[in-house]
Amino acid sequence: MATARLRWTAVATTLMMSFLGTTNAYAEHAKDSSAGDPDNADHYIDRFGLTSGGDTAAVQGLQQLNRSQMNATFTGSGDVEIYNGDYNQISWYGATNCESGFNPFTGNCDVFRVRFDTEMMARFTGLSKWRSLGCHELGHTAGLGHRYPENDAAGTTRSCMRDDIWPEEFDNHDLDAINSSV
Amino acid sequence: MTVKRKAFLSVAVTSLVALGVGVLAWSASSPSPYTTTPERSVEGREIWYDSPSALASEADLVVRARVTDTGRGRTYAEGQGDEYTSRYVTLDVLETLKGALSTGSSIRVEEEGWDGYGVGYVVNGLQWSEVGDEGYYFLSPLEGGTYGTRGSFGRVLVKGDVVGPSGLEPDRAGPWKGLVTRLKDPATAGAVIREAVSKSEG
Repeated sequence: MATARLRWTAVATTLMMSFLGTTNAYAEHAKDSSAGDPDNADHYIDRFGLTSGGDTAAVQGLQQLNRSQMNATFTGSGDVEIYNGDYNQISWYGATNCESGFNPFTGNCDVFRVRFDTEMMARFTGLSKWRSLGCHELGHTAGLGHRYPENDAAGTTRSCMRDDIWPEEFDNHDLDAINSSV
Repeated sequence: MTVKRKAFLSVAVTSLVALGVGVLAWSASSPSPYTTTPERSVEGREIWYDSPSALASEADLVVRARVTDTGRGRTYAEGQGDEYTSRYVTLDVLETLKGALSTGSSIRVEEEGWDGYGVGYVVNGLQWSEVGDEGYYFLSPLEGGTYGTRGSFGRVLVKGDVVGPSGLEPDRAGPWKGLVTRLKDPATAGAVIREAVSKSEG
């Protein structure tokens, strides 16, 4: 009995250490996205009827993804679908979810859907916030979660994954988090 | 009719009856295309409110209300890849803290419900409203005569499955930073909300 208990304890400890050993940049800087992780490094992005603002956002998001080890392209399809429109809501500027093929065992998503709300974005002039939004939502398709003042390093002001400010790029923490999972 | 033929017919009839019963049973148990609970989570880049008074200032209506009904709402972008169907939530107003609604009024709130595949989802942790929920709602009108909640933090429940501010996560309190403990206590939540409304109008 004592031997069996020791053996079980050893197994449990090993499993626990394996789990703890997989902490990555997500845990340190950017909370993992609840929409899921990309299933591989190749990211084929489709754009559907985007306005000039929406297209600016999509281009910025793609460029930011390509600063990481992901290979994002508008040539080909099947990983990310981007739409924009007036969705008759007053809460969000952009939203990302796993549209299909979510694997509950790996947390990977086959096809992400990104929506930009043109009515909400109409309150801004210029394209800077569109670029920030594109960076943010495409960041979700790379598995990044939101970052907040409460969980960010002091003085961190460059990440587009923040909700309270509008940077247009990923910072090094974002890039590290993406690269750790592809 | 020979014995063999009688036996064959008996088996055939029995099989057909069994098949018919099976088809009826399957039809009766076929699930609705809309899930009854949310199964997905959507990450949204939201409006950011620095403080409770900023949230109250943006809201056209702040009420204490009770959920009396929920159901399927309108379908937007139907047939397109960005299709979604909203959820209608009926609120009976118990008290109006901001706005012109009288106590006892009923209003319809529209929250996000299902994607184009009928899969229910929530945005930034704002869980679906359920009949019997009671709390404080920060609302603004939408097209079509309904109201929408001002972001995932725009609801504070005093009765329901999860009491306190909606959309709350361990490292994300939004405008309610420093006030979560008071908001999770039904005895003190009202005072926090009233103070927010008062400051927004000051």
